[in-house]
Amino acid sequence: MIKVGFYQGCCFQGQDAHMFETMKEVFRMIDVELELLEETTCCGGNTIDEENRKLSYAINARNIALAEAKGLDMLISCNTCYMVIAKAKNALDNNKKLRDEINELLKEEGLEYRGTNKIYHLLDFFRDVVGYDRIRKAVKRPLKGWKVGAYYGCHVLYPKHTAIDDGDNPSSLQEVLKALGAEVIDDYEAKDTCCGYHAFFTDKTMTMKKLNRILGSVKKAGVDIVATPCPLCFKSFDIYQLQMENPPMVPSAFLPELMAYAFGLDKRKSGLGHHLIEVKKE
Amino acid sequence: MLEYDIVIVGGGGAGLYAALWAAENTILKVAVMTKVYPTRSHTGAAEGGINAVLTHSVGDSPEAHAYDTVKGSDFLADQDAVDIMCKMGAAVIYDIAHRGVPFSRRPDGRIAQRPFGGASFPRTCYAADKTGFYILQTLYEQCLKNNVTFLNEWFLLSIIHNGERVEGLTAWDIRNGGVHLIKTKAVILATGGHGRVYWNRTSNALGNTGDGTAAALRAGLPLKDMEFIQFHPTGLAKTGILVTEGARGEGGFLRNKDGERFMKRYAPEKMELAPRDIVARAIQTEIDEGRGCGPEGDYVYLDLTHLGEEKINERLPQTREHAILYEGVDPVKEPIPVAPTAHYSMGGIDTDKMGRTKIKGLYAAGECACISVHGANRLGGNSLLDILVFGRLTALEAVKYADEAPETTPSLAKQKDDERRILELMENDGKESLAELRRELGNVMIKHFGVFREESTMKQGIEKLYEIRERAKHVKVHDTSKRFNTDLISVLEFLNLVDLSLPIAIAAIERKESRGAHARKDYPNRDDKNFLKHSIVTLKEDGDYQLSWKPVTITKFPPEERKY
Amino acid sequence: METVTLKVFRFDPEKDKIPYYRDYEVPVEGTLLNALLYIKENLDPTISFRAFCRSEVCGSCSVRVNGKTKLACKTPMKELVKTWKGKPLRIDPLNHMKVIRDLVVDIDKPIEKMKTLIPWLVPDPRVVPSDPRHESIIYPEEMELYKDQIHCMLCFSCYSACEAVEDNERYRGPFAFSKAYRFQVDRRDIETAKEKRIRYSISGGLWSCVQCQKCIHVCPKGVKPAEDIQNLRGQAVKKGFTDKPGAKKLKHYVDWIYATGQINRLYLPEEVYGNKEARKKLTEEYERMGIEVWEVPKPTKGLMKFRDIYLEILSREDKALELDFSHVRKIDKMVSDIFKADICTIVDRAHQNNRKSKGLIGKLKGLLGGSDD
Ligand SMILES: Cc1cc2nc3c(=O)[nH]c(=O)nc-3n(C[C@H](O)[C@H](O)[C@H](O)COP(=O)(O)OP(=O)(O)OC[C@H]3O[C@@H](n4cnc5c(N)ncnc54)[C@H](O)[C@@H]3O)c2cc1C
Ligand code: SF4
Ligand code: SF4
Ligand code: FES
Repeated sequence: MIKVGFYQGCCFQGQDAHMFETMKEVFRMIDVELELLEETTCCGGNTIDEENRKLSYAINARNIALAEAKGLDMLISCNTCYMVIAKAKNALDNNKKLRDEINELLKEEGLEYRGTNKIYHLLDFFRDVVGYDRIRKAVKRPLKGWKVGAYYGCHVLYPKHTAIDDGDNPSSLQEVLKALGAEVIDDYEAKDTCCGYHAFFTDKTMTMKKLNRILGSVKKAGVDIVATPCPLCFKSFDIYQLQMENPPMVPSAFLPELMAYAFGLDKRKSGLGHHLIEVKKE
Repeated sequence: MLEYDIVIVGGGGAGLYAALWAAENTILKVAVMTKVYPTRSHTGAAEGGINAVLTHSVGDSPEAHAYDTVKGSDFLADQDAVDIMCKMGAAVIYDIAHRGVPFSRRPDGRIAQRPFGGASFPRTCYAADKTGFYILQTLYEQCLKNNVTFLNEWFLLSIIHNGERVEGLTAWDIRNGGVHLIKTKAVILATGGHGRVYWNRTSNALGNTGDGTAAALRAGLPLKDMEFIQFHPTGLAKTGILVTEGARGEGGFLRNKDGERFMKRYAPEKMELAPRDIVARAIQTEIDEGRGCGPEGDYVYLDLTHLGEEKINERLPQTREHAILYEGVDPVKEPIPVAPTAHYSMGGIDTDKMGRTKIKGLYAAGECACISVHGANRLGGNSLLDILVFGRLTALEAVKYADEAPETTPSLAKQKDDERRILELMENDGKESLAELRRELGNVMIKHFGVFREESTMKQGIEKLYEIRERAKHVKVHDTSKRFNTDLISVLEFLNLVDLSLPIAIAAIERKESRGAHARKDYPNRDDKNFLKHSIVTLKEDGDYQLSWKPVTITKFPPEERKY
Repeated sequence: METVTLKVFRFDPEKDKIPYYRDYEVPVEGTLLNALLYIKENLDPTISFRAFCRSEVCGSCSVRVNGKTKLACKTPMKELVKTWKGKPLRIDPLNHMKVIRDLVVDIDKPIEKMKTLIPWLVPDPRVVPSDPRHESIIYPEEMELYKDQIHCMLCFSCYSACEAVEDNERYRGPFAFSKAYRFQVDRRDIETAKEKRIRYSISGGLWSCVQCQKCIHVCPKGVKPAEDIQNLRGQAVKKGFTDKPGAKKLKHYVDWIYATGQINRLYLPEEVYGNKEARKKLTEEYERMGIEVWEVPKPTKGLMKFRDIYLEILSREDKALELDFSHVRKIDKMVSDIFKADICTIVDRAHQNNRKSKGLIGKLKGLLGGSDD
């Protein structure tokens, strides 16, 4: 059993709290124990940086320090959380002055950012720690005949210095989907288009245009469902899609949900049953 | 027909600074014509810095700067021009700093200066290791601010004058095609150097082809001191791309094929840190005497391996990146193949100390001009100063002139001529290949007119150059489209290189002495009695060249031995 | 010698009705620019592309390889072959600009767009001496603020890759914002110009950036436009441009994260767009699916210490917004209404629960702040 600290961000609480239970179950099936890093807070969502960048670094130094205090590496399942925390880590690791200043503040809580532990996103965790074999072995209900559109989202691929895969021609998502037995579609036109999630509350028209491109393009490619390792892209697809003028009603899934389903959990438990845009495929 | 009062040809440091000073000092119609977008000009590649005596340069003075410059020039520089340049140093630096050039600063907030080869005080101002880049970007910003008119991606073809005054230009609009006649009262040529004569043995950009210099030559203007080409000792072997002096500064070794640190035989004390020209000659000697490395024995090794990965990454990241990218060698693990590379053109369009040519209204500034402040050898950091000082002065001269000059009426003949010439290029038999002949030209130049020169080899070289000139008539433009025809541009550039190669060769063979960058094996010493003078080459009606001489202006500093 | 096929985009509007691709076999050696030059010298002199310095300083040679923006003279052929696993390499001109011919695009438009953001120094006479003989003093630390931005070489790679350019005609472009920001943090630049740059940035699409980070990814010079856009947004809000949705979003983040350690997605539509319906509808929808909806995130035990750190940083640093304590109190009240206790008690309870359920006291000792420790 591998044990890893799980950073929940904002996507696994409130109305999404049930998703953590699913995650735990999925990871248990591939011999990983998720320990919830309870005291962590929101990473700032790449928005607190607008208020002040150091605040973003401090919040995330604290988040990482909480994992380090438990002696655990940190697993982050949201692309944006991953990038924001990785950028903070990068800044802290390369700037002693910044690190010292922030550690001075963390001291009060008995915490220290040391930079000793790793941070992972789902995709590199599957690739580098779990291994696709183990995923393949856990599959009880292969997604045979499912045409799954692979959609990475931006923040795991860009920018280079925090990316977990080759931004030009990534493969880690396809590998997981293949291990689940799905037919992977990864060459639709808008595969690299941003999901627009982060523009929804700054310039909504951008989000709508992005969704239009992506969903139109996957539909044209004939997918049954779009899979993404990012809960925010998923929200963009599942929730914001409904705000489009003529929603194409393309079903989507957060990657662990598909894994759960393939590992034998039922639709409801896997989370696939809770979508605003129904996943009909069995 | 386009009409302006002043056309500045070239959007490098010289051209943009001229444009800025013209724009701010006149309501005349000024345009900058440039074959590449201004920020892409070669000034952007200058790393090291720009020399000037500032108010806080303790102990230093413009006179000291002038003396260093004159001495560096091996006493061939015109001292009145040098005087102007050195006195204007601080004014120019403060001016561009006020406009936003991010010069590196001392802890007290003043512009930092560092020592540079040949300078008796630390007077080289720098902006990290991208001085030219920042200057160019800042000047461009300021030109945008002043709404300067740009003719971007226009290629100068010919200068039109009536023997007395300038009347206009012809140029090719690269984007849309077509020869245009441009009417203008004044022209400032700021088209940069011609290092590409040495085709793949130069640190210069692909387009440093001396177009303005060649156009001036064809328009009957004299070129001065063309034989002086500065070689940088360490260019990457395959491409000539520069390996910064810093690589030796940080402790890099030069080795020949036997692994010997040969500099001990040339400069036992300074070793790898000896002045540029000495190191360049040492490397060339090793190569010439059969101690070069590689299958052809045509390079030596710059060995950084002993510095260790960490230091290389920290101090010489660009060097490592370039060696890997352009030479396929990782300096952490292997030594870098290097050889001398043509770096700077001291010679160029003959002007007086204010950048004026013998044609009224026609000025030259920057590397294309020979004013001459660099004489036989340019000091590092003096070129950026030169381009700014004389860019600005020629602008003010041109404004003054154009304000009063009569209207001009350029004849259509030149436009027709150029149209015919281009058509012919597209229609000839195409027996010769551009790529091959261009490579050959470069090889002849490096072999016969390289770091070392000698009567017999130069004679052979000249023959080959005449031959290349003949064969060049059979180089064809295969691309017949008008739109962004880069094939045409390449051929025109090549023909300019051919035009400039012979003046270099002719002046080199006639200068029977060694001075500055001109090192003759058969005349190893400087000969002030016979050659303390500028060479002048003009193109005759019959297409041949004529060489003559012109005295050097000596004011304060009588010639003495150049010893460091 | 190892070779690979380049499928090069060809289009001469003068001659071709539609663009087409032509295949060229090139050595896998040197850079992509070497390959293009190889084609021009040996295979086809009619191909047009831009290149000048050949050593990554002039910004001429950006193209796209299989859709991805690359500076040709900085891209080793070996790397391309490795990335694309030997597949043919499709070479296209940059995106979002009109093709002049083949790989050459019209860059005037992005330059014009950049110009609208005043990308030059407008000297403040109180800082920059008008007498050119005098120096203006600048401390090295000040220059740290724009040390990355000044590397922009106008290669337009980021403009080509930008998601906002793609879907907003007015969007000025990543590099343009970085150029603008460079002067926003230059002490020598006059306040009125700074104010204008913000105004023009906003009308130039400042809030349209989707923060995809592609601009940072493709920039060959380490400029970070996406981050400069965040910086500019912060400045805009600070200067009082708070009516835009993005400004309200920021306020939501600043207040809620301070108050609860989390944002609150249920309240975002209301606080940003004044849409009260959204929360209701979403709640109903989830309840219909049998999902329990928590109206506010449950405070965790580190919250009070977290707030201390948060406040401390904000008190020291330049920031866009002041914390809105009345908002925070409102949130606190919501929390205590829902969890039936005041916020400190809830946090204390979280401590105790944690001990009981996990028995981690020993392990966590020293980590825990709070009065009951
Ligand atoms: C690698 C390198 C490093 C250097 N480092 C230093 C240094 O540290 N310090 C220093 O002082 N000097 C340095 N130099 C020398 C210095 O950079 C140049 O001498 C100087 O920048 C030349 O400036 P310029 O304005 O004359 O020409 P350029 O910057 O070369 O500009 C020429 C302009 O003319 C235009 N042009 C050319 N032909 C035509 C045509 N036919 N039609 C229209 N337009 C045309 C081009 O488009 C361009 O805009 C360095 C040189 C090199 C090669
Ligand atoms: S982060 Fe913003 S500016 Fe950068 S590429 Fe994406 S949308 Fe464009
Ligand atoms: S920011 Fe980077 S990618 Fe964009 S134009 Fe400038 S140098 Fe090129
Ligand atoms: S040729 Fe100048 S950046 Fe590539």
